[in-house]
Amino acid sequence: MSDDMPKPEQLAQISYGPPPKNWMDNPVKFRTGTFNYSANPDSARYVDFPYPRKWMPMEDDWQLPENWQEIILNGLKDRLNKYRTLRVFMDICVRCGACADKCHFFIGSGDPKNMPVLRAELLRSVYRNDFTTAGKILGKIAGARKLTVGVLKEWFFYFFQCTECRRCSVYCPYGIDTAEITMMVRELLNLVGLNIDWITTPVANCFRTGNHLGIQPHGFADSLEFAVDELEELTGVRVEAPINRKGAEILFVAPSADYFATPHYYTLLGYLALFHEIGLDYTWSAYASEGGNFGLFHSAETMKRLNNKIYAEAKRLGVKWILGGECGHMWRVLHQYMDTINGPADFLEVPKSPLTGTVFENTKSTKMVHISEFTADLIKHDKIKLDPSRNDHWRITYHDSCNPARAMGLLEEPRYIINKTCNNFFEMPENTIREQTFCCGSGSGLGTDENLEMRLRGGMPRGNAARYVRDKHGVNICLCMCAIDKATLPAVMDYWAPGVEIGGVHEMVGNALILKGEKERDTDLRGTPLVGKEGTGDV
Amino acid sequence: MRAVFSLAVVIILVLIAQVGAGSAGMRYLLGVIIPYIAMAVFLIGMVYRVIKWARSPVPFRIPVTCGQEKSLPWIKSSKLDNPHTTLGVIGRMALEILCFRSLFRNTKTELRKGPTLTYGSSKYLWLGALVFHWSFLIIFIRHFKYFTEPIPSFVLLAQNLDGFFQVGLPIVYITDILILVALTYLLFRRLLDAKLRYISLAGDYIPLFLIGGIAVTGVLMRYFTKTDIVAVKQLAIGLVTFSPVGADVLGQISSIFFIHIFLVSVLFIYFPFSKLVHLGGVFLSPTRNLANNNRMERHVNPWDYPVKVHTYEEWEDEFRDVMKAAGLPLDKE
Amino acid sequence: MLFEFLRDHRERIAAKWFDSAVKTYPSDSAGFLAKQKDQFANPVGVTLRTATQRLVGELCGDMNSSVILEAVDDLARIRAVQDYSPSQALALLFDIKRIVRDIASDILSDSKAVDELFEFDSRVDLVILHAFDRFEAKREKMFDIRTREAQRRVQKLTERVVGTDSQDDSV
Repeated sequence: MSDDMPKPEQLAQISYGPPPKNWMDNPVKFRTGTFNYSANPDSARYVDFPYPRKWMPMEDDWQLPENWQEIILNGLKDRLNKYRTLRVFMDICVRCGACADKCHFFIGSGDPKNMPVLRAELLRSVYRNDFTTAGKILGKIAGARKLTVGVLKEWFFYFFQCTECRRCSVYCPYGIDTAEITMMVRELLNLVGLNIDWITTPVANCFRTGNHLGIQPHGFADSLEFAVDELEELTGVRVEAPINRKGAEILFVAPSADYFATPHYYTLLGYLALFHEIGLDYTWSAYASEGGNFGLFHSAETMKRLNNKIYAEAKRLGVKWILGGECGHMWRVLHQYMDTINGPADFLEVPKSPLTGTVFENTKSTKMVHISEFTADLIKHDKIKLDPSRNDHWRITYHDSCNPARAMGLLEEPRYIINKTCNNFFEMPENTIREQTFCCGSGSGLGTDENLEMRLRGGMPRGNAARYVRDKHGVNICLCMCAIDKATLPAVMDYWAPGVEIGGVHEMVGNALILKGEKERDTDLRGTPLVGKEGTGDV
Repeated sequence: MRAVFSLAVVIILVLIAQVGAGSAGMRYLLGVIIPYIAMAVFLIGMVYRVIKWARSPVPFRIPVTCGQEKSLPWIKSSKLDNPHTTLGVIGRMALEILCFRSLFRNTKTELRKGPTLTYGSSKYLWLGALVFHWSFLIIFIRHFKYFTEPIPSFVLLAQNLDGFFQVGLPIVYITDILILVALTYLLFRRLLDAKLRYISLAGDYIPLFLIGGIAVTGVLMRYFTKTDIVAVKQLAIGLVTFSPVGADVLGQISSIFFIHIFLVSVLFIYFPFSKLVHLGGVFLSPTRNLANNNRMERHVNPWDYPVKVHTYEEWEDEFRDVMKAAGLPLDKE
Repeated sequence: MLFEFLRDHRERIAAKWFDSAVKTYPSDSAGFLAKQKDQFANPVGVTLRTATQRLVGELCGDMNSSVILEAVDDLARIRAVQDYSPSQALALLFDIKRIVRDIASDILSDSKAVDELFEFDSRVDLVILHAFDRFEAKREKMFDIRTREAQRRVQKLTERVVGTDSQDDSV
């Protein structure tokens, strides 16, 4: 054994010395822990994805269809003609490097191909080779290269290593959006059957049952019932959670994780308590029981297929407008795509809060309101009674989820709610919040366990900022408004900032909300004792 | 390597022009024919590019929002960084194009604390880029004086502002110094920063060397080796009036001028085929030039097509029994 | 006398050590790690820098175990999620021996200094042993995180189906 073991210095130099001169000549290594597994062929078949088959990224042979190059190049041509974004972004990058150190994966891994500019060059090089005069004539000098299996593998590795968070785009002088490029390449990969399971199986489940986990309608009903019971235990108040109720004023749609995963679940309890307290005339839907849309991470078409359920259900139930729960990519779809892909929603009315009379003019076409907009309005008009001291056991920071921040600009509403429901709120450093917020490292369908190492690298900048406020202000919970954050940030915090829990904004609302007829509240929605209710405060 | 290659290309171009300026026939080629070709290639090329971009539709409205959205009336929205009106978008684009807003963002928060090294350097990128582009624009405008008679007032204004300090004889233009400093910075930044060296292509160095060559020959002509300005203006006016001058005028002009105009011609020809098209592309970037009024006004996708969906009826058919057992309402019993 | 010498040159040693640590990353990243000094924009580089600085302080100072543990913990946390085998991940710690020999080569002709060098080496060994422990702990932590995440993902579902009692409360 000692014979094989290089000396430390040698070792450091041998393996991690300068890379080959040109990044194009540096093939990708699939090391366990850093990539996602391929799609289950049954799931892929269920939603008609092309070329379903058993294959694995670490195997040499990916069993590509014979004319795979032709398929991809035609697909690229097609998309260049359909998306101005793609066409413009392929041509105008000047490689100024402003984006280079903005990607959480680059910051956490040090892998140069995680610089957004280089991630895009992986595609751009092929574009130059086949679609530009300079590239066709000058080849490598012009930065062009042929589409080979090696390039394809590189695409798979690095475009399933971008979380579509759009942080780089904020700093780009031309607004080049790596998320858009990633979406295009993922569509191309799909054309030859290269999908990952953590996207494909949730998509198939959601298409069939209405939610990612494949919970059937009765299971969904049971889940809500269970939550209603638990809320009664905690507060002494029995609430209603109507499902598929025709004629309700409002359809409420939340990410499915809210009713089967923790810590999402406490946010669900918060919604239930709030809706009960204000007497909202609303309904859940078992058919549209998923606001999240993993189709977004697959292709525009799949996104449309899944999103279809929401308007269809609103129409069937005859509601006036739609309210949406806390979720990041769900809101990317609802805010930026839904009206275009499945609208117009001319059968709905412009949303108006039944309590305050506020007309949500900003949603007059899409007719869907974000719950934090709705709640902020309630609080502003003093429609609910709050006791912020019930959140005193929490020392809070807030993580802007990528999509609400960079696709909507939903920055102040959650902060307003937090400030009204909590007493101890501390912001993370300025270059890590709001539009400059760092991704959890697991967005866009990458939040699974086989690539945990990569996710932890990607989560490092966020974890690092949380650790800073933990040490400085004793922060013990980081709130967020995204189901993927709630699913994956606990891992990030556990590793980089132990002691910082993850929670939702409406969990804090639920804690602080004074319900009519409630019992003496000893604990918060998690069952954690309130300050002063259990000997010493356990901050 | 790629930098050396690019430098070599530009040196060869200089040599070609240098040699060519020696013969009368070649002078005509360099001073008249190639500039016409260059202009034609530039105009046709750029129009072709822009048409090509514009012909690809914008299926989705996907602005990248960099500030508070317009929502409730009592929450102050960020009108420029997250515009929801056309006016706001114009403002955002103007900030982007005239002030390089996004590059400036680079430094905004980092200035607040700690050691200064990188905050400095990322601010320098903004500053370097801004100085370079503005100098280039002003120099470009100044050159109108050669092509116009009488000289329009805005050209004279640019010239007077540029020579504001009245230093030297002939008066030193500030932009002449600034553009050389900025180019040097942008070049060394690419060469010295390992990250940038790694991502840079030949296409990133060529424009720097080419524009550098143009600037240096221009400076040499103005301040060091005298050129017959009258003859140059005759040539320029001849070009724009499509009545090019003859060998007599061309013969009065020094050979360095031919290097200058040849490099300019090459730049124009190179322009539409290179990353320099960002000049036009920046206006068309859908993440910046669209208003974030997504939920207020419907955006239409011109190539939208129907997709296979899972309808409620199909769904209820599949789950009717379990729904019934759970007491959920049904459309069909 | 060696320790005194090392204390006088503490900053230079730490800087060299940091440089050699950064060199274990691809060269194009190395520049970024070394130059970007904002701890939020560049957590890897800043952690490496602080950890090496603190370790040098203790190695030629009074070997405060809590400082050492914290520093190797920070190092291990980062190296454990990056593309390294355990030996590769921790090899950078051995570099300090070479760096000290280089810097102190002039005074190492003195036998007293050599004695102190042996002492210094065993201090480094101790730090490395701690680092191995911490590295292993981080890898174990990852397994733990995986399991807990999988539980959380369907926690309420499981509670509903299996009952609350069978679940450990990971909140």
